[in-house]
Amino acid sequence: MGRVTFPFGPQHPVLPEAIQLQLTCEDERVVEVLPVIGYMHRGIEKAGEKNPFVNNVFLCERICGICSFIHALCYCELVENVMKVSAPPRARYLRVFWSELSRIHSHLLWMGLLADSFGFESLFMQSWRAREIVLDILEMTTGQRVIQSSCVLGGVRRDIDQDMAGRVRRMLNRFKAEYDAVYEVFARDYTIRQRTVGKGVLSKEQAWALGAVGPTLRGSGWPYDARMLHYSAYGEIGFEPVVENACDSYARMMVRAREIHQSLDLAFKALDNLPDTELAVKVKGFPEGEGIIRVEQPRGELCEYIKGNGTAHLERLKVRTPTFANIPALLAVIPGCELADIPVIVLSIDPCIACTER
Amino acid sequence: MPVMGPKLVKNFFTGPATRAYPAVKRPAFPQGRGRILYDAERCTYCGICAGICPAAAITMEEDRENLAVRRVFNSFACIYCGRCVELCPNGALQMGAEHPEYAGAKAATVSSSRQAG
Repeated sequence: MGRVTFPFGPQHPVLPEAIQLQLTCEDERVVEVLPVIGYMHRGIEKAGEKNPFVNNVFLCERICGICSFIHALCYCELVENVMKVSAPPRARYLRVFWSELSRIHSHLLWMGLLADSFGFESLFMQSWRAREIVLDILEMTTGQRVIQSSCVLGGVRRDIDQDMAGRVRRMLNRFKAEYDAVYEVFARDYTIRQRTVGKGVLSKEQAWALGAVGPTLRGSGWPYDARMLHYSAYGEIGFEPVVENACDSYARMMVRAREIHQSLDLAFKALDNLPDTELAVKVKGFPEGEGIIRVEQPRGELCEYIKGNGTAHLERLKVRTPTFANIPALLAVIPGCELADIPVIVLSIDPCIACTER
Repeated sequence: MPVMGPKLVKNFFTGPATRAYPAVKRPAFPQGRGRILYDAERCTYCGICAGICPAAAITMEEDRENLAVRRVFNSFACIYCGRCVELCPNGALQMGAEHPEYAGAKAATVSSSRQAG
């Protein structure tokens, strides 16, 4: 049978960012796939070496627009570890609160895009409508919707007082009511099940061997989540990973859908137990030595490495983002699939190309 | 679709979820970081804001002819992080909550210590 190779991307309606997959098809079946990355490289790691290390917080935040807070948190926690500084408890709880809100809005954005990828426009709009409440909370508490800039070395810059906490609780309850309606559709709708169940099966062994992370790994039955490492205040708040065992696109979607409920619980817990301490401690001196940290982004495990030489500039800043780790798993599941299922399978790993290429 | 049904029916009888922008605007949150308001009268041209700006949006320039210092703020480069507002010792900088200007209204603002006297 004749083979046809054609490009999927870099500009494609289902891809929020630029990546190309060269698909080789026999009839309607994909037999080979080759990724082409590098469209969105911005040289952030090199810029991190040129910047004073204090300013890198704002630089790291701009690696990705969706999980910006978690990138900043990762950098701050790492530099604090290297400099042997500990953020005050209130700052750690607020970091958990904002990270969980980031996770919720990232997952809802993805769920809307997934619905859009198979033409379920009304669900896409309902998902993003619910997400808007979370973005409003982020703007109300930090000052900005997307790039929060509220995490700094040694703690956080913004506080949530009693009045604001009350408003946030009311808004979160309103969000929960909106999200519950959306969740029901994702969990039970016939169309969604037809388009996702059994598509892009990544077996348990394969997921581990290919180094998948985040919901892609948890959707294949591995109870692994970097929040189990108890960074920030996750140790005090308590945490259990969400796991699904079906290994297909539906399982990966359900991991994210259930994680939103879990993140909501964690955000409420963080808000209810805010310790009464200062917001930040002063960080004196310069980082010397090296360190590595892993934190859980909405898409999976984010690793960061820094090497300081006792000056205001870092010798090396290295970021390993979750989508980069998930691309081998994506390439393993695509061969043998129907061409029409490719958008759903590609989206099922929640690709964030801006993170991957930095 | 049946699962989505009740929501869709409900949406028929409720108003639109969006606002009729620009006629109706959402009020800004009081803590919002929308604009940087600069008061040249209070500025002592100490240069702290220029030193800490992560985006290098503020620069201090020497004006040898007039024996003055010029402070240039480039609102295109500004990332509205608010570090300068926090660190200004004279209260010359304030954070405005209303939404940022559109690109057409953005420009570099220059103020000189000569004008300030």
